[in-house]
Amino acid sequence: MSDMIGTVTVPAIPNSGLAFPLIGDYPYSEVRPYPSVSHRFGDKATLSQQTFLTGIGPRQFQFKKSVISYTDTNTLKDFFESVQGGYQTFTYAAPNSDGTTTSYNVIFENKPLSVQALVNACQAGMTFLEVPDPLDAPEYDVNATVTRFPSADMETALLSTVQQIIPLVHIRVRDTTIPDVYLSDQRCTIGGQLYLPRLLSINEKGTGVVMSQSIQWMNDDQGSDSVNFTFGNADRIMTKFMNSTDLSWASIDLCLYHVNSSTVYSYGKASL
Amino acid sequence: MPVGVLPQTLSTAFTESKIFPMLTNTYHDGTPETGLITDTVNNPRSIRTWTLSKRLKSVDLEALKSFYDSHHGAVIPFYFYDPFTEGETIGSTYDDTGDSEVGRYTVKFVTTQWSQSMTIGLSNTSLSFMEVA
Repeated sequence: MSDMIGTVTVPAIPNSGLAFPLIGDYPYSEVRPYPSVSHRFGDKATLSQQTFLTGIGPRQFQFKKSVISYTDTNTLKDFFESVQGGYQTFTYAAPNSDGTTTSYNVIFENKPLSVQALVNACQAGMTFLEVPDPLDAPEYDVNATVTRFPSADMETALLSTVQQIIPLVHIRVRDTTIPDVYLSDQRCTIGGQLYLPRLLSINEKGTGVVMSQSIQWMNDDQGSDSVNFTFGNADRIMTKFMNSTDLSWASIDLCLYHVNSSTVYSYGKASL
Repeated sequence: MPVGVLPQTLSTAFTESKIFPMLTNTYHDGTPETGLITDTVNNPRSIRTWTLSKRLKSVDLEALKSFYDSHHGAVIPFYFYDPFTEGETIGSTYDDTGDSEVGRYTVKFVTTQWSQSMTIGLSNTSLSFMEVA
């Protein structure tokens, strides 16, 4: 079943059904980033840290050919055209250290395919990015929901040196025929609810401000709080969603799922 | 309209790049989101870019520099014959009249300034130009 945002179908990344036709040179390399943010404290002679896991990057496979024949060069160029660069997925047999290979569903990194001509051959290098299988998305249980102050269990868990927090956005438009929209910065199922990857950032770019508050009723903003969400629209789905319904006065609420304590913290709710 | 044909000289380095213009996002679990930039009429196609390094005699360098000057850098498009056209002998497609369509591309310079470095006898320069409609 396709993912939906409201009544708009989110298309899956097209699969070309093709396999990468060439075999690269040694050394084969694979990179898998685990992005995190660490805060260092003065405690324990400044050795105390609290680290937030912010996600799991896709596997990256570097492919290079120091010498590639003109025939293979044309094969590579034709293949690049067939999968429309980084648009369609294909299968790459990634070499393992024991000599075997593992097939991954990948796309070209969104960079130019460059082929340098040599005297009687060419050389090329590129990076493939793994496309995660939606069926492998993690599922989390919800043990508690807190609306204002953290529970005792959550307080204890927040002291851990390792933290993982997933932002959850819920949008409900006034038109009751439009299904509620559940979005996050990653694909996950929390408390039985599937959240689609669509949230790029919460704060304004270049700032660390998640939410700004004003309590002065005489201000032009009537003292309302302000929060910014940035949703991905590379596939124009958010544009289609906006055109499919009226977002005026839609409610949007932001929750933070604390993985360590399986607690949903309701951060705030607002109107668009 | 393209004006003239890029003079044919040997290159010390010849790199062809191609990319499909695309919007992309990557989420925290590695899920990509992509959208090809199209005009909704024509099929998407890649944009080619060539980067050439050259080490030339004075007469060839001056000819190339004059060509660059006459096109005001990255302003006026011109024809370029790809010497590595598939199915053709390398370098055989060049036609200084610009009439032949085999291996011919309409391009314009990417760099907006000319640069060269001179050594005894030969001079070095590099060019980068991209395909345009």
